[in-house]
Amino acid sequence: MRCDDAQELITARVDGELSADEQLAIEAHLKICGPCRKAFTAESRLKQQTKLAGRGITAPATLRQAIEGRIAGRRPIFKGQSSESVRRWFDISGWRPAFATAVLLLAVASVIYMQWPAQNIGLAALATHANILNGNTVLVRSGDPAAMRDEMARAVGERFRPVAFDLSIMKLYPVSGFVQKVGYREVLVTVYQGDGPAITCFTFLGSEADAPDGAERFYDADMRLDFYSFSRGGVNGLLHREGGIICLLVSKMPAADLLAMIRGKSAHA
Amino acid sequence: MKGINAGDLDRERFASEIITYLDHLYRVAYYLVKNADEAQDCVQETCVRALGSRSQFTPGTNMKAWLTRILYNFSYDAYARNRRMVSAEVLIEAGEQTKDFWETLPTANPGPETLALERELGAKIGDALRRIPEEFRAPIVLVDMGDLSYAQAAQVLSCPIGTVRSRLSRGRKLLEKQLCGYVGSTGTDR
Repeated sequence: MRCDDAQELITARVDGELSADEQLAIEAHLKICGPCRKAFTAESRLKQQTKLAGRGITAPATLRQAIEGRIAGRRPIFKGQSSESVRRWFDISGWRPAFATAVLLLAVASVIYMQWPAQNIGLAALATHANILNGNTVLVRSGDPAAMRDEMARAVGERFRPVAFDLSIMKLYPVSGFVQKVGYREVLVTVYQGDGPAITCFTFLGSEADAPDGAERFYDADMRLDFYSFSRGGVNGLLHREGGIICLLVSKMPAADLLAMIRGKSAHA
Repeated sequence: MKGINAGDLDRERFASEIITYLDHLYRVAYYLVKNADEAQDCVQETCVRALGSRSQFTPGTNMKAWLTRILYNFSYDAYARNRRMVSAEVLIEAGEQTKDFWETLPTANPGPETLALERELGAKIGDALRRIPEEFRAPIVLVDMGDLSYAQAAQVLSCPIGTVRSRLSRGRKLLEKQLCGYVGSTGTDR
């Protein structure tokens, strides 16, 4: 068998869609062909990652409501979700145990959630920045900052966007962005690198309470904003709130320099 | 069940079964069309059409594949048909890279950073998928994300099973080439 002829069989093997004859043929080829074995491994991983990506996409609650409403418009079976229709819904065999199970799971999840120790985002951000500096975090680099920000916003359902800075005067540029999950919250992480000390910007929905215990608070009269600075292991963080959005800058750069950078607010990209 | 006739109950059961496939339908639509708004339109229309065509559904057959076919036909007619076709060969050349993207991905002990990376990768996969021609994208979306068999995908796409297999093979190569543009490297502080 030639490698060109093996490609579709490799695909079918990845998907478990081979006939018995095809299975024998491709197994024989893979035994003697390294590049095709590598191609099989690569395609298997691609399928796995694609499947994983798909699992992150679920129907929005608003869509669910819209469909139920639209179905009701054509067929009055769900009209108004009246108590009668709700009662009938649960009269259908099998719903009562399912409902009871759902309520139980919800209750258990609530208890677990309430008792789960909250992880401080400020401290997690310092650790993330340190991991980026020492190479423990692999960065997926982007050459298009605007597209990268759009992607990041999409990743959190457009609920917020990463705060952006123009640091080109310091020869720092946004080179990578990703979403980090801290506890139950999503944090948009933008990495600025260049000629100066690297800066990582964390954007998330929160409040000043996300500054760790012991953070030093000071009021900037010019900007009319409260700032919170804190440090661990030579890494400094400076947090402030803009509406419901928290912007946290982390760097080895002194907090005063980070503040000066934020004061150049006109430089926000 | 007083006051409810058998037809109403059938419709009610049918509607509630459709609702159980909402995540699947939205996921497939999300990757077939341009954006989330179009995806929502497709899913809404699919549900209404499916309910209206209830008599055409054969009980005992696969409802997921049947709904997906309605969704695909609608999305194709409404959005895909008029889109500019892109040459697959051009895409392969444009995305040619020497580094093996998959070798750069961490495989074990997923920590927070790895999970974040995977999430980032998920967004990139969606972006890359939308850049490959519809004829190659659709089989990937149906089989990999929709968990349909080749036979079910062939039914949705109205083509032979062999065509699904060949387009899937070619489509995954295009997708991999597209993703090579996002090869990561280790960050350093300078």
